[in-house]
Amino acid sequence: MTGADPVSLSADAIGARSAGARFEAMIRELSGDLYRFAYWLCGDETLAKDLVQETCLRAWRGFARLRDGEAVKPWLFTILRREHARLYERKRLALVDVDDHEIADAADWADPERSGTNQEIREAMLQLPAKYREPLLMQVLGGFTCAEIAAALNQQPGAVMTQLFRARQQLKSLLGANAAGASHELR
Amino acid sequence: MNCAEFRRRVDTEPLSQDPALEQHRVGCAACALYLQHAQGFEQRLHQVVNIEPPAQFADDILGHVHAQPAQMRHSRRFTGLALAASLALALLVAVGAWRYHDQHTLAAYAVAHVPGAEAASLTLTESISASAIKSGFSARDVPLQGPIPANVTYIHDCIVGPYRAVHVVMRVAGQPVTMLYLPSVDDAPRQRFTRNGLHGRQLPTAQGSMVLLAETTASFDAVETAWRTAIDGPTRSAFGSR
Repeated sequence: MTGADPVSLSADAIGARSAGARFEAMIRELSGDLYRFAYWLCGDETLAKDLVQETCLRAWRGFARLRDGEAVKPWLFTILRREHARLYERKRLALVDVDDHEIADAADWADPERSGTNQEIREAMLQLPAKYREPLLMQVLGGFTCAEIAAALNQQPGAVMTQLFRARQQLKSLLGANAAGASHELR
Repeated sequence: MNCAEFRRRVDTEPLSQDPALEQHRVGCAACALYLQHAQGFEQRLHQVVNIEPPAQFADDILGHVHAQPAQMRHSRRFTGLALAASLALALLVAVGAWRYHDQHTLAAYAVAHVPGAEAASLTLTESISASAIKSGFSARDVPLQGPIPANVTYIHDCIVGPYRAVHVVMRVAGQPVTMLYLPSVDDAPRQRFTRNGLHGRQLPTAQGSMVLLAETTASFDAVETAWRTAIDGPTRSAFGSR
């Protein structure tokens, strides 16, 4: 908060931390998760940095209105999602959805050792449609429950559960297709 | 719970601790294997998505946030406003020396500081303790000599332009009034000003200078007297404004 000046207030000395100090602590704790969420939303490191910067600027403007300390992470994720949507509109990013075909519920998980390399999993994640990737990331990265994701996305919990199910089904399908493609190349 | 329901739940929430899932798992070897593989994949997924942010990312973000005082009003029309601001800036550059001087006055520094990174200070309403206020001033080596004004809602040591300052916000009749005390600025000429919609008063104190900022000047006399007394002490402040 004090720029180049190293003198700063001690939180213990003043008995209550300033808004600036609380905001800084929040950013230091959550900026990594925000970056990861941003990256997996847009698939680009530079865009991800821009998204997080804009998110934190907006968060700082609204920080004084935030009263519930427990709601910080979902609040930040929501701001980031909206910034991503705005970025979408401004840059008209071309995101191609894979076919949203039904996967048989009976499809089994492959043994983890045969479920694709990490690179293949990354590629499959980025191929997921946004409507599945977003709630999946909120669950995996954010640790949010289905109810929390539903509240953030303004949807019913049942719809979110379906999206999470479909997300994993599509990942299975994409990884299986990648494996089939690779095996074709090997022949 | 049958196998289809179990597997659907696993594919929705692989790490769920639902007792119903556990109950089915212990009774069905095929579903137990299904869960094992699903959780194994989930671990891989967590590893894959858990990428490292760039080095010093948090520092960069905080630096960016605090370096944006003039760009707080970010909206979908920002591009148009930015274009208009660029044209205005081109005109200001043509004015040259006068503009440079004007932007390097104490009033300009003070007004630029308030709506920037500490804009949230204007929205606080809860009073802070006298001990916190004393500590805030002592961080700038300024011992308070007189009674501390009431209804102080924010205090922080800041840099205003090139100057170290104590940044205080207090509530008067429900409205925020900013008081910037700059201990190293000697004999700032007493003057009133209005900049960017804010009314201001700058004045010298016994040691240092003070700048008051608010949307109206109604409370300036009372705030000036209160802080002169607190900073300079009752005797010195009784000699009135310099």
